Amino acid sequence: MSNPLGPSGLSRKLRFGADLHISAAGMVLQRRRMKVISENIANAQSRSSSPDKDPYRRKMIQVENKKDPFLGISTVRIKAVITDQSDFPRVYKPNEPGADANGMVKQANVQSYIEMGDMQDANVAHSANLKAYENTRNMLLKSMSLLDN
Amino acid sequence: MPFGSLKIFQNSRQQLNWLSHRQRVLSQNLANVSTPGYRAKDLQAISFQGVHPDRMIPKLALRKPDHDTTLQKPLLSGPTQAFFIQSDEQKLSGNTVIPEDEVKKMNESALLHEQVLKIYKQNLANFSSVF
Repeated sequence: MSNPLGPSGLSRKLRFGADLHISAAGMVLQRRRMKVISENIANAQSRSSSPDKDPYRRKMIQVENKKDPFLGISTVRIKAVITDQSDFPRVYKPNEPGADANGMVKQANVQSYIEMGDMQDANVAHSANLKAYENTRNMLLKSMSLLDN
Repeated sequence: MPFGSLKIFQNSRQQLNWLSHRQRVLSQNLANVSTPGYRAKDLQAISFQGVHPDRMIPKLALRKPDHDTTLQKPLLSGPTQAFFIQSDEQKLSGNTVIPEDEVKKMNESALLHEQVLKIYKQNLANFSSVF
């Protein structure tokens, strides 16, 4: 209620702006998804620092489509950031501090090629949502041009 | 004279309303491209074929839709209810949205919107010049 340009401010009063929030929420979701994917890629090579500790665990996002109480329409959002509970792969690094009795070290359960595929998917989705945003905006502007003589 | 009640303007208003409604449905589809279990929706196509020139009201094919929570209050009464589209592609998560198809449909809607708006403006100008 404090920010006049926020979802509960101007956009709420001007009801036609609600459609733009659908695509904006989609873009924000994909951007946050790319942030999580980037974090996974950056930590893909990390290994545990001691045999009894776990290395970086892959993160994933849970998405939900829920009705926004302020706008009165359903927008997509991140429900939670969860971790991938799959097993850690082990590599033979006997000289590292994280090595167990057999010289095996636990490595992050991130597969770079999967993350790159997800990143590409998020990119495409973000571009498509941007296109939808621009289309909606153009339709609104053209409709408002009826007021011109 | 109440111009809004003329069939020629009502026709344009119905089409514009349908197009703006469709834009909302397609935007929802694209926003939910990553939502597990989300099934893509679309509006029933308005047919402009076989319209009697005197009536100027297109025959709208009514179809019983699945429950759609995004279109709670249609702007005008009429068959603007959404239905789930038949899709061959489905991700492992159960999502059936194909971004390329949605963008293609959006571009078609945008062109049609511009066309209908131009016709509406032209009709308005014609009436304004007469009266």
